Amino acid sequence: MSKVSPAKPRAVRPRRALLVALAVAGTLVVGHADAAELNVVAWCDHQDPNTFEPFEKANDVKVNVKSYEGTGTLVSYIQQSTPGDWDIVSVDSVDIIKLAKAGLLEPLEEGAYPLDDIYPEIFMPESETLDGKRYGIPEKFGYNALAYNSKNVDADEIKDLNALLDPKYKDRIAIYDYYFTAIQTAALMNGIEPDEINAENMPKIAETLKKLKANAKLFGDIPTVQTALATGDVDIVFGGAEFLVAGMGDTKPELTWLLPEQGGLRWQSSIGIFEGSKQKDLAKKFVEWTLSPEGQARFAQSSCYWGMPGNKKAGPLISDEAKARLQWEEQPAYLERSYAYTATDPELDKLMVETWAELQQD
Amino acid sequence: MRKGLWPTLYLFPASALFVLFFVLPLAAMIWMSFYQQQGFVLGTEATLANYLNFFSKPYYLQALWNSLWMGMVVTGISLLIAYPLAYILSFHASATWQRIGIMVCMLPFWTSYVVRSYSWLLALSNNGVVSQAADSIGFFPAVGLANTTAATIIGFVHFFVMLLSLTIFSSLVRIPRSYIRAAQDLGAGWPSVFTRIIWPLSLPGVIAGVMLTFVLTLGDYVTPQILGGGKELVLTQVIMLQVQRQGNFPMAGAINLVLMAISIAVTLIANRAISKASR
Amino acid sequence: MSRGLHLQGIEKRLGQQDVLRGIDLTAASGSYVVLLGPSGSGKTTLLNIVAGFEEADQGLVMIDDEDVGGLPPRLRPTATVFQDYALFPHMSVADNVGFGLRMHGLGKAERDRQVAEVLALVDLASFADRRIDQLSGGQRQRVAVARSLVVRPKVLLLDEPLGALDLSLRRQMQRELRILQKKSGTTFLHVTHDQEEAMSLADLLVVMNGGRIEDAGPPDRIFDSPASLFAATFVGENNVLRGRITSRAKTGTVIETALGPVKVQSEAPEGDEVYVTVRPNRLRLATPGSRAKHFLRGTVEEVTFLGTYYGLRVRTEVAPDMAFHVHSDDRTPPEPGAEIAVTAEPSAFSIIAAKAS
Repeated sequence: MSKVSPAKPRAVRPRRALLVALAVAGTLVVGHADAAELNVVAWCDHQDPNTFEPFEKANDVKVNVKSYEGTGTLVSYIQQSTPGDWDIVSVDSVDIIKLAKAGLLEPLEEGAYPLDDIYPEIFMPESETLDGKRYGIPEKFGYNALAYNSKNVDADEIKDLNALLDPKYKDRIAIYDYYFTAIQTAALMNGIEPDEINAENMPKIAETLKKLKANAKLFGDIPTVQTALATGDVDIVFGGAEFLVAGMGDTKPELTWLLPEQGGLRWQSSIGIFEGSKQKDLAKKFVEWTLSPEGQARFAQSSCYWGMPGNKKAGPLISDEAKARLQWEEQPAYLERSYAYTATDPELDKLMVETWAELQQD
Repeated sequence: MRKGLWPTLYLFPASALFVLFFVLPLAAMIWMSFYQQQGFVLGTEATLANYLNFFSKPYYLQALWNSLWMGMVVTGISLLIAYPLAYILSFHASATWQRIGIMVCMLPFWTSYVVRSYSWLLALSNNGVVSQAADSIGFFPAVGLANTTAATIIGFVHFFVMLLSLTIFSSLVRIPRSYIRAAQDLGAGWPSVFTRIIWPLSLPGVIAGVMLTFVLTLGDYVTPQILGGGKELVLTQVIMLQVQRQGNFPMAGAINLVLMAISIAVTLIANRAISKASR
Repeated sequence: MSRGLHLQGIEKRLGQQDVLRGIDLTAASGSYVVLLGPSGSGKTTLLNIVAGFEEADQGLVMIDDEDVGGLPPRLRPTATVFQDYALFPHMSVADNVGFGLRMHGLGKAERDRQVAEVLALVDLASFADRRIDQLSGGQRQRVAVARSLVVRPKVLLLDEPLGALDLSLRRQMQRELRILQKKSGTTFLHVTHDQEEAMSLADLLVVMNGGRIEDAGPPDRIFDSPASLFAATFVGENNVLRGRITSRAKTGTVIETALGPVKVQSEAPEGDEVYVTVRPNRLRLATPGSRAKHFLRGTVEEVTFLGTYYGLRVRTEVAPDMAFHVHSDDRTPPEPGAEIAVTAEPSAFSIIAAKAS
């Protein structure tokens, strides 16, 4: 505690009060410009203070994180801001290229970051680089597979995705309502790889989804499917994995996940620096911290959701218990069996959106 | 001159806020709805495409129908429960019980929408209190109510019964008791007293409550999103999908304006009906 | 004449309070009965008991010699005109008036005919399609009466029906009510606290106080020789003196009062302690120098112009704690401060036994 300063006369002079009020209001409006703050726009896992506390202390800086729930929301935040409002972005790896093409991102010096320690499988050159320059580095990944309640469901039975169409699972399934991963997973059930999806085979995929819907209890966003699984309303979440259940391991150890035989989708987030940032050195330090083994170990176990750290060297800093929840040992096999999100051309994306909308409203 | 000017000046902060936080965003939304989202930017040509899209795609129309259907069902059920409640409260309760009743009716307004919805989700889930209770009585199969349209209706009805009770109660207590005495005195039995005196005179409160219930049900996103299970989307959920998944603000704006038009129409009709009923 | 309304031994308690005590009342069919009393006197409760809105704890309510006690209001041969009229605001004049007929199952044609008839009776024939809020206070009052009359009640109950009207309209409506009552031949039971209204309307005036009937009879009888001190003071202005009877004789009774002996003509009641009352209009200013025996001598305190007469307030030396009221139709009344003498005929006095109050 600092020394208590002697009490000052309390008479408030009107003009002074007005100036103070204006100054406070001004701070609220232009707060982003304060040099001692770093502004991050990211998925909610970056919001956990535990992930950046050491960075704040080491650099005497305050980290502000604004979270978004979908790339659409991110777009609106960026559209409403002016250059310099944001320093750091964390986004689906596949979407880095969109930001880079819009001229929003700063090229990253490859030598400055531990790229060699990162799982080589999760780099996405076609999405993270443009004209030979790198704009994003993968920081975290996980899967869209099956989350389930091991008390009520036998993993051996559902490791084949088509088992989900069995009437015995009627009303026991929740579908995570991200059209992109759901359609691609349904494609895998038909032996169609994600990059093979087209207008011709879409009806077949839609047919599978329809059957799946008939067995499903509900469609929902992450909180909804998570709640349904946790409350016992459903036993399986189609599209779920570690990001849904690993964080609940302390209280609900029976909730776990698997990557099916047919494989699954792999989500990845990448980190980048905004071109308009006015404190690029600090931003660079933040990226370095986030990718460091220490930062990665913390980030993997963020309170909002867990995921695999991109940096393999985080391993020794993560407990065996946590590793088990992340299914650490299986990663080489999982990486091989999974498909990273891909950029779809606008026509196909539109078709997928409409297919999904029709399915959900059917 | 001075006298004429000052009141206008006093109004300025309120009008400025109104323009800044209501008129401008609304104008922006209307303007935007006539453009198309192309990646990160808006198209350059004004077009009706978003609206045409809305009225030609079955899933949008289905969502519209789901919303209207939800509004009607919720309003209907809420009215059936709220009217008798308000009636008992205004005619058969002491002043103390009336105060308690009104307090109870106000309670839902003090709790967060989100918290209320999640409470219902937990109560209705397989391990929840409602399901357990229903199960132990063997009364009805409440198991599995969470994440269904029925759950959305329950969540809505819980809230709107209270709202409707208040509006109906406010109409009922204002009916002079001498009207009822006069009707009885002139030979009316209870059914006639109700149908010819009480019901017509409570109509302003009924219509106001019905209008509020319908419009608020139509415009609510949280309750169906948390409780509904997502197998039958309402219009607000479709709007949010456009925003969150697609980042398609123009389309979201267009759908929203359709929703607004319906709400405004319902409000206008209700206002006319109220002024007619209370004339 | 049959007994249109007969009440016997009506008692009503509310909690600890006696609202009505031992009410006995008989009114001939077709008479205009007015219940007069201050608020809290029980008159409205009595009306409600006749209407059936409230039940008496004890006692008999008979209408045309039929016991109606225990019947709900809708089955009683009564109809009520409420203080606020209780006209249904969502119905037209005609629908309001036709309501009772409709409840009694009359067809539309017959209903319309009777409604038109009664509206003509109250001079509102052309107002049938008006809404209630388009009517003046007096018109509303007439609609309320028409609505109740049209069901042909044996007793029409009126609860302060003129209370909401301004004075001139009230006087006019009094006349109209009186005419309507005669035309319809219905027994009217009318509650009011306005004694002028009561006197101008009533065939049978019933003065109530504290849950009891203080006096009942024709208004002129009650005015001239009230049966109780309350009736004497509540109905019209009065001068009251307490006194003792000192001699009883055929030619008159002499009473010793604070003003000295007063000779009165009325028959003396039993007991010696009495009140002597004399109306201000029965007192005369003695002509200066007159040798006639005066009733009192005093100083004029205040002179009030009241149109057809002047009201004088007079104070005497012998009873300085009492003020006396004297009416003078002399166009040049005494000035305040003037010493005057006042005389009265023995017939001007009336006596009330002190016990009765």
